[in-house]
Amino acid sequence: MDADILTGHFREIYGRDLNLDAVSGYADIVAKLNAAIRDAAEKGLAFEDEPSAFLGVIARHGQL
Amino acid sequence: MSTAIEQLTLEEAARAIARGDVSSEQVTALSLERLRRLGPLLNCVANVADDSVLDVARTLDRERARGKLRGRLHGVPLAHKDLFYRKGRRVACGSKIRRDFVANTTATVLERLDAAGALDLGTLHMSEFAFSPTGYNHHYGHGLNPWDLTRVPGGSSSGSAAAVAARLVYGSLGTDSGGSLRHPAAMCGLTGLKPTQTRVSRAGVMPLSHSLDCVGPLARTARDCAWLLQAIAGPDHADPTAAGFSVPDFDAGLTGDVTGLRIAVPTNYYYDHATEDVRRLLDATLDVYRQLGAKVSPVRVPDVNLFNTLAQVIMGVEAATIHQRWLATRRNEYSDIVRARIEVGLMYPATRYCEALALRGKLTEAFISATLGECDVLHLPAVSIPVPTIEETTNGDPAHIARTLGALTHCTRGINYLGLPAVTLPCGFTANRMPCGFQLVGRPFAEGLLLRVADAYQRAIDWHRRAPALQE
Repeated sequence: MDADILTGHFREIYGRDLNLDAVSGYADIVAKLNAAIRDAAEKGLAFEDEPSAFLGVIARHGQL
Repeated sequence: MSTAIEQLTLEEAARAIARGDVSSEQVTALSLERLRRLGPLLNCVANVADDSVLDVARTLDRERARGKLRGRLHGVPLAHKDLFYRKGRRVACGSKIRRDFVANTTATVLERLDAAGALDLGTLHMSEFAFSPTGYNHHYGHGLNPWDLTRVPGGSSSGSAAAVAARLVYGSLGTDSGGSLRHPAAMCGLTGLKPTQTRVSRAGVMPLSHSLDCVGPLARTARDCAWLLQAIAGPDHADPTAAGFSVPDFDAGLTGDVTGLRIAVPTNYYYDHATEDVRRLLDATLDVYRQLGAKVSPVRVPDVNLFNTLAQVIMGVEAATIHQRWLATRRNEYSDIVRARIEVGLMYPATRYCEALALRGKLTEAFISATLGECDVLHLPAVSIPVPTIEETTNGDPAHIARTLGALTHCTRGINYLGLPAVTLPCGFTANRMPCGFQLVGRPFAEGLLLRVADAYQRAIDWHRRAPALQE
C-alpha cells in the first residue's frame, strides 16, 4: 500500500500522523501476510466464500 | 475431611458440600482468606468480593439443608478473569482505560454459573485487554507463577491460572483468542479447555477479537472442566453466534475408556521449537495412552504458519476496530506494547481481512481432513519451551524476547483460526522444575471426547494433583 495514502487515511480518522516505523513489526507482518495470501492463491484456494462459510463448516461437523 | 479443604478438586469440593461434609460458608471463607492473603503475593487478584458473599454461602447452606441444590456447583467458590461483566461491578480488563468502568449488564456465562449455584468471589488479574501470552501487565505488574515467583504464569488469563494453581479458588473462567487459556494452564500445571468457536456465549465479555474469542474453564482436572463447561455452554439469545446445538452430559461421558482411540501426532511444525525435555514429557504421555489401549499415528499437518498469519490479521483488525475510539482519545493510557499490537490492525487492507475470513472454512476442512480424517484427536505440545523467567521475556535482546514469545504461542494460535476445541493438561515438570502441558485438539464440538481422553490420562497419572509450595 502506498505509504502516503495510508498515513493520510490514518490522519483523517485519528487526527494525527502515523509513523510506520514506530508500529512494531508492521513491515514484517505485511510481508508475511502478502506471501501467505499469494501462496494460498497459487495453491488454488478460492476467496469467494463468505465468512459465514466457516460457521457452516464447524456446524456440519457438530452434526456428524 | 482427610484432605485439606483447599486441596480438593472442584468436583470433590462440590460433592463434599452437597453431602454436608463441609459447608459452603466454610469453603467460601477459606477461599476469601486465601485470595486476600495470597492473592497479592502472586499478583493474581484484581478485586476480591466483600464479606456479603458469605451471606450468599449461608443461604446456599440453608437450601442444601432443606434438600435443595441449585446445580452441580452449589456452594462452590470461583473467581474469574477481569473481563466478564457483572452488573454494578468494576471490570478493568487489566487496563488503565477501563479502570473505572462499571458494567451495566452481566455476562451470560456468569448468570449460568450463578444458576448452577456457584459463588463469585471476585475478579482476577490479566494482561492488558487480553494481549500477552506471558501475563505481562505494564499497569498493574506482571502476573507471577505460583510454582516460581520469578517466572511467568502465562497469559492472558494469568490471574485465573495462578489463583486455581495456588488453591485460592476451585476453578475460573478465562478467555482464549490465541492461547490465553491454554498457555497459563500449561505453565501453572492446570487443565484448561478452549471450546469450539461458538460453543459458549460471549455476551457480556469484553472482546479482543470477535472471530477468535472463546470462553472456557481453567481448573485442576478434566472432570472439573467438564462441570464448568456443562454450566456455561449452549445457545444464548444474547449472543446470536452461540451455536444452537444441545449440550451433551460431559460428566457422563467420562468413562475412562480410550480403547481403540486413534491419536494423531504431527511430524512437522509443532515440534520445531520443542526442547528435549518438553519432547520427552510429551512422548511419555503417548506411552500412557498406548498402555490404555489407544493407537498412535503420525500425521503431516497443513501450513500452520498460514493460519497464524491469517489469525494475526483478524485479531489485529478486529481489536483495532474495538479500540479505535480510545486510540484516538486516550492513546497514552495504553502501554506501548499493547498500543503497537492494536495499531497495526488499522493498516491492513480491508481485502486482506476479508480474505483471511474467507479462507477460514476451507482451511479448517483441509486441516480436519489431514489430521483428524483417520484419527480421533490430535496430540500437540501446549507450550514448546520450559516456562521462562519474567526477566527473559521483558529485558534484554528484543530479538531473543520475540523468539521466546513466538515459541510460547507456536502451538496454540492456529487452533483459534480453525475454531477447533482443545484441552491442555499437565504432564510433568521440565528441568527447571516448572509444569509442562500437552494439548489434545478435536473436531468441532468434540469437547466431550477431548474431556474423556484427558480424564483417562488423569486417572492413570496424577500430575494434576501436584500443588505449588508457596513461600509466604
